[in-house]
Amino acid sequence: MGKGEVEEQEDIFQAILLADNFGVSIFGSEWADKQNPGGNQFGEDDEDEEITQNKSKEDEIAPGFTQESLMHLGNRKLIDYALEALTVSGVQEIYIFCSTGTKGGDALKAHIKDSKWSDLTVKIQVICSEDCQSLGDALRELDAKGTIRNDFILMSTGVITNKGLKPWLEMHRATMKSDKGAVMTLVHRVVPEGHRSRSSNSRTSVVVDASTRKILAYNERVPEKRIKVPLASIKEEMEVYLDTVDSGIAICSSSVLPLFTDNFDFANMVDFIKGILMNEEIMGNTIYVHRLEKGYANKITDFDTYLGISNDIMERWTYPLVPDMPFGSNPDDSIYSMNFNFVYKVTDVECARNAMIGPNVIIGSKSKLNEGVQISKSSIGNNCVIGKNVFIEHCQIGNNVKIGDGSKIVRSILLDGSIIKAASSVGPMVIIAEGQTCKIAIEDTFEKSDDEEESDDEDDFKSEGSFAPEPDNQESDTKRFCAEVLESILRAFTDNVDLDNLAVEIHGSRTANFMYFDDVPNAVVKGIVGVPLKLYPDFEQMPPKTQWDKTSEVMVRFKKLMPQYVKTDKAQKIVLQALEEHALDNAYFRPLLMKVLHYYYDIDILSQEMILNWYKTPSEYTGAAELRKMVEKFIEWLETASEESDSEDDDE
Amino acid sequence: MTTASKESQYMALLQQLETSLKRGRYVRSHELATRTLRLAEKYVQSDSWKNAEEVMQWLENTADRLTKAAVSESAPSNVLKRLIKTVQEDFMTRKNKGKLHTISRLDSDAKVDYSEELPDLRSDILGAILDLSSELENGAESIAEDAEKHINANEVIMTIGRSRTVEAFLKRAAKVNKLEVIIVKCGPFYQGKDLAKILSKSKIKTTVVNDTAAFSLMSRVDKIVIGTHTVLANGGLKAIAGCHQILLTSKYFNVPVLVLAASYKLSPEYPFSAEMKITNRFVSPEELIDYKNGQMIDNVQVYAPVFDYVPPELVSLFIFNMGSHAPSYIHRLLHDTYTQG
Amino acid sequence: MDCKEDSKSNSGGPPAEDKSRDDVRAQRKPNGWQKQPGRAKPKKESVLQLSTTPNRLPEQISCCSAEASPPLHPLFHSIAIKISNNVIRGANSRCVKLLGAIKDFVQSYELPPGTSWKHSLSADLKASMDLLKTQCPFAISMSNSLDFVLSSLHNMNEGEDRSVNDLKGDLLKMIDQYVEEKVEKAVEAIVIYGLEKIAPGDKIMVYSITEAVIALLLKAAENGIHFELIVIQTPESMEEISELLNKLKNPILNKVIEVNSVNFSNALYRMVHCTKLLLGGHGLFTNGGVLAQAGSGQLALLAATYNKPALFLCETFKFCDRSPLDLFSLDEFISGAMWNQNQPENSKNDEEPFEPKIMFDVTPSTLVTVVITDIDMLPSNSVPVVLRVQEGRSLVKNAS
Repeated sequence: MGKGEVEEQEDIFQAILLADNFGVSIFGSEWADKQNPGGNQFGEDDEDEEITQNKSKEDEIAPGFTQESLMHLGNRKLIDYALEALTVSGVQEIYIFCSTGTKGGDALKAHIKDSKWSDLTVKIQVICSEDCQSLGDALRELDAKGTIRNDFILMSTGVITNKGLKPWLEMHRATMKSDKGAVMTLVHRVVPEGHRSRSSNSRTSVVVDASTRKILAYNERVPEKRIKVPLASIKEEMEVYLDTVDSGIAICSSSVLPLFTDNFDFANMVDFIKGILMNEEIMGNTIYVHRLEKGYANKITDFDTYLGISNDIMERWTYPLVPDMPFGSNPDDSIYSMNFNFVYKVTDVECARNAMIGPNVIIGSKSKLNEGVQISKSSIGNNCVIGKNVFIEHCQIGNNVKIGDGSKIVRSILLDGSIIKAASSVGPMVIIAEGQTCKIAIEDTFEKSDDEEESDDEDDFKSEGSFAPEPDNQESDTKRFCAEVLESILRAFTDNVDLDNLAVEIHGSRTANFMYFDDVPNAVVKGIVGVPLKLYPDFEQMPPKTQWDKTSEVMVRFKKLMPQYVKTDKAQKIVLQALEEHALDNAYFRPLLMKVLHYYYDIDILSQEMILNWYKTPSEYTGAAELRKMVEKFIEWLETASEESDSEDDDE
Repeated sequence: MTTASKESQYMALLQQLETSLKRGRYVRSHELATRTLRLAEKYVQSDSWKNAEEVMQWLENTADRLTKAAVSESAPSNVLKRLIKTVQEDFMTRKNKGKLHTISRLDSDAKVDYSEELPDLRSDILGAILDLSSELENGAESIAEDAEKHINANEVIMTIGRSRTVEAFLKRAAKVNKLEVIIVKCGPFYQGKDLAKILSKSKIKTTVVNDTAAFSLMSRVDKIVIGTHTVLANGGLKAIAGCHQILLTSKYFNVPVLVLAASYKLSPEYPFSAEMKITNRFVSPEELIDYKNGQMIDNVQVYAPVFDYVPPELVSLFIFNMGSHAPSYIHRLLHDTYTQG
Repeated sequence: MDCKEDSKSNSGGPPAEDKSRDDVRAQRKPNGWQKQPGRAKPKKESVLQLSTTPNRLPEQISCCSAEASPPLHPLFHSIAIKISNNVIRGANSRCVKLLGAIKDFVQSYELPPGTSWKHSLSADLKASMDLLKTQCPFAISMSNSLDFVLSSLHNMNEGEDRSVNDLKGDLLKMIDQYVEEKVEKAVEAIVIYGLEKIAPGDKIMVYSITEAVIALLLKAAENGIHFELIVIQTPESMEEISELLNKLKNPILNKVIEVNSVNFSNALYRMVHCTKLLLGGHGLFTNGGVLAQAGSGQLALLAATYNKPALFLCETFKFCDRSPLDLFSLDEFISGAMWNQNQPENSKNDEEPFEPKIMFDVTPSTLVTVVITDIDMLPSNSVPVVLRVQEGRSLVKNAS
């Protein structure tokens, strides 16, 4: 295969559209569990503020809600965007693959029938399967069916694009002409890190041959900005793309499906790409990438990108796929008109006069917004009733939802029919469907890269380029690191371990958790002051004097450890902050804080200047002010002590 | 052809037209008007109607439907509404045929019953459609016929953006007189550049400038000739964005403004509200700001409207294919072209 | 739907090897510089009287030493390249950079024996500047500051007891003082006056962004005034806009100010909502006309139509004693530079449209509400008064 010309068989433009991500959900694993009610239901932790229903049978949510492609986006179903992009480009046969079984498939079929998609001359077929666990399985099944005969477009779930696909097909065919082994062209859109429509977990890096755009190395998650290119693939002119994301569109030649069938271990796209690259010499297959700089093509991978892309739609980056253009709808569907500030409303919407409808809002037909409502960057479906003084931000709200007065809804999704009681606060990252609440998590769904960590370059950590901040991972890593350090110190204390060995242990923990050098004093000081709590089960009940004795015992023991980690002003700041945090988190520690500070001042770990700086800087944490009051006496002593005698300049 | 297939023909055409409008695949108004006319032709040829009233009903419904599909495009509904008027006239002519004393006053109080079946109405209407269609085709040329009258020798003409009517006009004028053209390429799509290339190939001395330069150059310009997307019912224009400013400048420097428009661009639509809002089209802000600048797009709102409203005071003369008129005369033209109510 | 491919994306490849960016740009940069220093008579091929003299690269001019004057001093040469390639943007920075180059020139000047330092320096400087003017756009700020240098040089007391070094030192000090007073402090003064004009809740439309404009908006935001900023965007001004937005990054993120942006053609769409129009001026003429970025005239006209005040910010050192009625009346040496012509190689071929890049225009005084300067807020036709009152002007006024 791999011919670029049309032969006697008709050149039917085919496409495969994935309706879901095979058990992995955009909204995290908890929601994914709800999508597959047959799966494990362990550890369901409903922290709720609303109505909840417990029993397992009733935890099943109607597939109309959970089917990923039927989620709302810009008051349309997600799959409408993909279907529009495909049909406009002239695709003649679309195969939608649904892995949640017949229930999900039925919901999809019903949607397609109801909307205008079934009226077109395009043939749309929904293929359901319960057994498919991955993209690989799905493609193998399709290969077995033998319906795909030509080069085709493979589109993931949650893809939105306003570019025509036909030119890309032509481009791929031209590539195939010059390189018979080209099997796939990926489309990557330039979306740099930190962009609101790029997942913080996405660290796609691609190395290509500059002249042909052939992929030489590919990675979807690398811990640092480092990618390995096999020596054999190195060309004279290479380009590295670190600022692109996979748009979810791949133009495949007809040999892709047999390749999946032949290689049973290809589970997902990354496997496929890596496998092809590895076997390039043997099999002669190559993959190309098209770097898109103009036009819109993006894929929803997690909640952040979901919100980012919905903002993109409202700001018309995806024109003509925007809320006020009536694509993919029945003639009776409501028409939105765009108002100032990117507010899209149907004419029969009722808004109170003092409702602040902020930037980027879509309001569906017959919805009613009462006085004092504040909405921004959200979309609301049809027939909703929003009570007085409700605050909504960064949300997607479905149809027929009622929200009680005075509620506050932030960064959440309310599916059709939800009812929120008055004065409730639907906190960030929550999805509510059929009365059940589910937490949204931004998880790293990509596999760990196979590249091993070389442990001898801890100094490189500091000089590494700026990291995209990833809140969730960072926090859990830090917590884990702190816990490990605490353990090490505890053991060192009880078993009388040599300080050098302890340092080595800490170092090992640090590299294992990808911590920067600066993170260590934080963990160490927390570890030291946390040891007594762990060691003595009744520590909190002890009288303060005893508490202090025990704590100082530990501190004295590790006196020589601290200077190793606290050498700079910055490290001192970190120590002070850590102590503050520890005090805020643990009530028992607060009265001890002053003495701890004094001690560390005495042994020259903390300088007077830094302590005073810390004291004077207001902190955002609640309770910080009281804390500072508690150490007031020490601060006063410190200040006067400096006037009486010449305090040493202990800045380093 | 069977009745059923004729019907399905026009249904298919309607479906196609509606879908392409809905999808935002906007083409020139001229093409939209032509397609709509062909659609109407197919309808009239089919057997789906029996009397004039049904035709007019269908025309009105379709006009509504197409307007709903693309609010900012008025060409399809203009054409259909024009046909409504034509049907009325044909009906009256047909009905009063043979009667010697007929007082054909279409705005009389007597309610005319259009449901009367008249045998030759079909061919009449088809004839009218044919006329309209040839008018559409020759629109640009008939407008250009007046070119020599309005453009004198050695004049500097300014135009905005790209209009094929203006292109034909200027080419015609250049055959007779030597002239110089300044083209303001209008952001964000800068179609003026294409016009510049075309005109220079026809040996017209062309200069292309940015929109920002209009004020500086206006003192040297003798006339402004522009096309427009729509002519509104109050004599104002819905033209490409940037026109309003440039025409304000021309008023300041007392430069006469000629607007060339084919008849299907005349719309019974009024601009609404005190702010003179028009049904605008907002496209992707991609031309204005780079998508990858994440911080910027998060904090800066960028609008990209395609059209501008130009009040009638800024226009000196309209040149339609049925003659030249002042903006104050538009109401009469409307009256002649469209039915009331 | 947009089916066009971006062909630029297919041209990958390594960066230009070993050439500095300026050189690469200079060689790409065409045409339109006048050959002779001083007045060149433009050929009138069109009613618009645009010069169509053939082109020469700046480097080539300096190399052809045979007939022309000695080649341009390298200090000024680099300035010329940077300015003509828009590396140095903005009237203030161009003026400051020019003065910096002049200072270096003065510092390194070696007196030919037997001549008066003052006179020979003056002559050489003038000659260099004349040559410079043919090679790059010479802003009003630049020519005014040059006038100042030449006139202070002229007025210096070359007594017996003064060594060359003393004289040099004095001149350098005077230049420094000029920069500090007229440029830097002026901006601060403008900011102080300008702050009176910005009220909380204002919707300010801004165009022709100069250093003063950025400083004013930044100060207003730092003082906690909540306003909305409407930035008018054109392709030429993208750099200034990003500079403005960068400086205002913190207030934007803290929601102190909101920013909207519209393309120039769509200014009308936002003009109805805004409360005032703020523009930076590059020069002020005696008839009250303001020289600002191309398009300011249109915006001022639009503002006048919709009854919005149009405020211009202009430092006094940019006041100029010419009175052009429109861009064409500006003298050749300004107009040649202003055009920044971009004629393609086959300029003789009539088949190609002529595409001048018009960078400035003159807003007539009737459209200017007020000009905020460092000495006060003035109506725009007070320039002659200011010029008369100010000292040290115009002895060498029209010589260049």
